[in-house]
Amino acid sequence: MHIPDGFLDPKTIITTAVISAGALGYGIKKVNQKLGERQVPLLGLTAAFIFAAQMLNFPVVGGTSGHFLGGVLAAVLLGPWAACLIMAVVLIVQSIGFADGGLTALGANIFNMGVVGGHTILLRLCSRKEMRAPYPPRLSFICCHSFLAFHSSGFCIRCLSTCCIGYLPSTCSSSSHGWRAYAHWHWGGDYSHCCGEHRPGNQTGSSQHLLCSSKCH
Amino acid sequence: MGLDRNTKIFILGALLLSLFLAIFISPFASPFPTGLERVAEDQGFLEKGEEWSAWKLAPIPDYAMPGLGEGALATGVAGLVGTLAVFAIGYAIALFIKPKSKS
Repeated sequence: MHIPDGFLDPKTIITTAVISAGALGYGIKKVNQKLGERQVPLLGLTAAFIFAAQMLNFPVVGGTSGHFLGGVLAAVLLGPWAACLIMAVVLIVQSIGFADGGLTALGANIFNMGVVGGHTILLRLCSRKEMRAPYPPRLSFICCHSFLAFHSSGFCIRCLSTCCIGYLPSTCSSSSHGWRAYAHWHWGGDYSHCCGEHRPGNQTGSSQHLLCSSKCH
Repeated sequence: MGLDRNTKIFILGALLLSLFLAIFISPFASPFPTGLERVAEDQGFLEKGEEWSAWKLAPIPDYAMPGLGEGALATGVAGLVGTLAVFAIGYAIALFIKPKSKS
């Protein structure tokens, strides 16, 4: 499930929408400069594959499920800016066509999965040479990074990004339980318990509540 | 099209793989709620997302093709339509951004 309408406050909606719109605008410019002619169909193809793969929820823990996100796969194949565009296409179709993800939360969803997902720090660690290799890149490379991205983008990276932006959802649970519950269902309890014990309700608030609302799959 | 044969085969193959996943595998996807959904349910704010929606005209709400019930057929057809739509829109946008060179 992507973030639906009604979960985020106007401040969050506007901030993320502006950032995502900026990223998409810059992305279009970059794609125009960098994308080779024979990579043009690959943009649609990657988007289609990500759409299909996002339908495949798998059980995670304690009666919840998760699915592949795709931002990093797209970034590995076509670069981070093309990844923003690809994720935007997927998310817009999902929101307008399938009622998955709210129209007002589109900016936040694109930010989470496209902008942050496509620019994971991990990606910067890959060798430049490999990034420039003609597609398809080595399968092991894609698998490895997609796997890492699944773990990182789901939590750490989103935590980082949400802390930096500092947006605060008004409708999310106002107690620390929101954060704990989120961590619990994402990571299977251990982390949330440890977190809950060491930080008994006096968190700085925003970043944690944020995280709760920025969960997007 | 200035695409060579291998590229065309790769595109066709990958598109068929995507369609296979969306049509035949998606009906077996886990029905469990996702992390956000579960938290929203437990914390009692799931209704906030349901009672107010900015867009109510989604042709295929919740990945189930209307008129085909709630089963595997509805999900598979939704996957087929969605995957082709995303491919077409993505391709069209890419062509718009990067028009074919005149050579």
